Amino acid sequence: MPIGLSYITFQSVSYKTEIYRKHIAAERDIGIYALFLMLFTKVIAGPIERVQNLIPQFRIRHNFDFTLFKAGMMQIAFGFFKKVVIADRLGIVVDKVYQNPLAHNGTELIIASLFYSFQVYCDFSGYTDIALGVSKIIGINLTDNFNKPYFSKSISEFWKRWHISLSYWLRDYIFLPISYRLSRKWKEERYLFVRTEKWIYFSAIVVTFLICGFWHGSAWHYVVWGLLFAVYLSFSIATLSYRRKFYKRIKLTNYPRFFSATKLITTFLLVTFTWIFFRAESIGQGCYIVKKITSISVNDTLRLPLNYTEMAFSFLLILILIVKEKFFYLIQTSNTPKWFLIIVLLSLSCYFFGIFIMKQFIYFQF
Amino acid sequence: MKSFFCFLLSLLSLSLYILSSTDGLMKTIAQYRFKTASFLKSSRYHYGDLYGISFLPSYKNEIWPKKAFIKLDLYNIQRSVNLYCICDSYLWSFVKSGSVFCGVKSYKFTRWGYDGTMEVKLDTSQVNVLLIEVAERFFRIKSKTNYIDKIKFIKNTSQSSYGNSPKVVVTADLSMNKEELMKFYNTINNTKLNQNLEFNLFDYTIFSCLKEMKAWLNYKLFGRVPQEISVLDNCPYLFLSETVDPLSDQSSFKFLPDEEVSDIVLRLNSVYEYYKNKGFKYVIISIIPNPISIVYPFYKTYNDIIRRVQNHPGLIMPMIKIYDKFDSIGNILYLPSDSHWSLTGYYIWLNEFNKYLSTVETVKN
Repeated sequence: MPIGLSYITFQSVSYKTEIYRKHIAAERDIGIYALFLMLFTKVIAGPIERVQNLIPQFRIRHNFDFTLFKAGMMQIAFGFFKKVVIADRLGIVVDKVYQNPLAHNGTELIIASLFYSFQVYCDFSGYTDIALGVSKIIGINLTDNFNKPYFSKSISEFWKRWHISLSYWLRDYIFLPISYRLSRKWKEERYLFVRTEKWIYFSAIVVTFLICGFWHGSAWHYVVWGLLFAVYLSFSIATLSYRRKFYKRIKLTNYPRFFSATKLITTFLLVTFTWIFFRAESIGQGCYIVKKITSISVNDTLRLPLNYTEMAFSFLLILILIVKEKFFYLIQTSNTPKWFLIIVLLSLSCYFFGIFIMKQFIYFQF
Repeated sequence: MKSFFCFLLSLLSLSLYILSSTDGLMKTIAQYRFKTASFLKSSRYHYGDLYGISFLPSYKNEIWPKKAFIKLDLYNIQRSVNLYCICDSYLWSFVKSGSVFCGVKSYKFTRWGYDGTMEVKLDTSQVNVLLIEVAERFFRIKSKTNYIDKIKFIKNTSQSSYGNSPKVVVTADLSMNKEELMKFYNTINNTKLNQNLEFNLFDYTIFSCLKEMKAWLNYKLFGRVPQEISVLDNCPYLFLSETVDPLSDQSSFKFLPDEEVSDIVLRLNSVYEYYKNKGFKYVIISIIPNPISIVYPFYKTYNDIIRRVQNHPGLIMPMIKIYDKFDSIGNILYLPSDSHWSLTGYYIWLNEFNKYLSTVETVKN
């Protein structure tokens, strides 16, 4: 597949739709248009930029800005850290287990699936950090694709924080047009005792996530992955009022911190469940893994490709990632010596603890 | 000043990119950097190729003892043999000229996997010997593919033209043919680009201490070594993982059924017949044992491929039988941090092969 085909296509669709909707005027400079589609920092795996954000930036003269340079370098360093130290290390376990799930027990499959949740996040957000960092150095601000997605307390919130440029693209060019179209067609207040607006939401969300699944790959397990999110979101809307009543009845709302943590963990586990089908090579394999996970036992032995020290180190890295995202999401770069020290430390960590096995970024295939 | 600096930086980056994308240039630079004693010296192979991959400090050994070449009595024989060789790095990295071979007048070789087809114009009035040298780790794989596509025979039109450079057939088509297009594509999309960039930017002795520190840290903390390398408990040698992993075709421990041995022998016989019919007076094969087959054969169940082939009653093709000798001598024949034999191993093999060549001479005379 040609490099960045899907990203270029999505941007082209966005560009043409925005012109059709008369939100923007057509770009008359082919160079600017080509740059919009193929800016080297984002051509391979996004973010999927909007014309309104990017093209005006091409018309400004960008002089070297040391503040932007420092911020960009910091983002690049963290991007590499996420990719080579965390994602590729967790990937060793994930690849080994998912290559042959028959040879692994429930505990190993659970660990591999949990690791995959963090691998895919560190891999993709690591790439995005590098892309955004490089862009920043040359004075271009790209859309941030991630905003602490594993701190989401609901699936809808997760999609506002995960692959943001894609989810907003899907919302604006698929979900909303379908919803408007259906709302004009379905005139009744209720169908089968369910309010029409809910039917519209269910239909639009299923189509949107079907397309989202197919966009990730022409294999049915990606479709299942997308449909699972559609089911989660539909279920969430359908049961919203009942759940609220239920939470009140069991007095969960009286403990806001505990309630919040429960929602966060539930969301994370639901997302991790979908990643099983995303990572599996087929629906059958995904179902097998889910089935095997339920057979988890205290007698399970671990035969993973990392030794115990490295397994502990991997969990420590995940913890570091969580703490960093929670408390130090944006590192200040105004203090130059401090900035330099952090860059040096990150570079040394990447060098000494990085896994350099020429492993491609996961989202390069999409 | 700022513009000049930017221009210089761009020029340097572009030069580095072009250099790292061009195989020919890289080959020249690599050859220079492996030989030079200056700060540009590459440390990759100086202490063994396996050390060059792993950088484990405990395996840092000088691999080239400066020993004088031992000249044997056999070398006094008149040189009248044309020796052709299909070989791999075992021979290629040790044999620089045909003078080390007894009675050999001219020596021509092609390497498995590196060089293209060797063009050969056989003068059948002379003694032509073909040596097929293959490392044990590749022997099984090669036995499933073709041995006969490494030599292209050019018809002989005049006597004793041996030694001239082979004729190259040039087509008159001046447009870019498919091969040239591929060559151009490979230059701009060189698959070795990362490897070459690393070689050009970081493969200097000055960085070795950092590489060793990383290797040591990862090995001690996580038991991690590069996936190409295997470190076995209580064994002071590094091995190529492919030769250790029983699932790999290159492994000394992959189960080898009798039927496969018979198939290999049949294939060798047909190769033998093919080259004999093409005009080689002698065709001989030599299989160089994997280091692990000699140093640590009890690690798992050794498949004993070399002995099983050489002792097979159906084998017609002559073979340099070195396995038993190597087995009796053991460790000193291989280098702890290299995937090849030591100078001693090479000499023992050379001696055996020269003994064979001396019999070839006797037969001819």
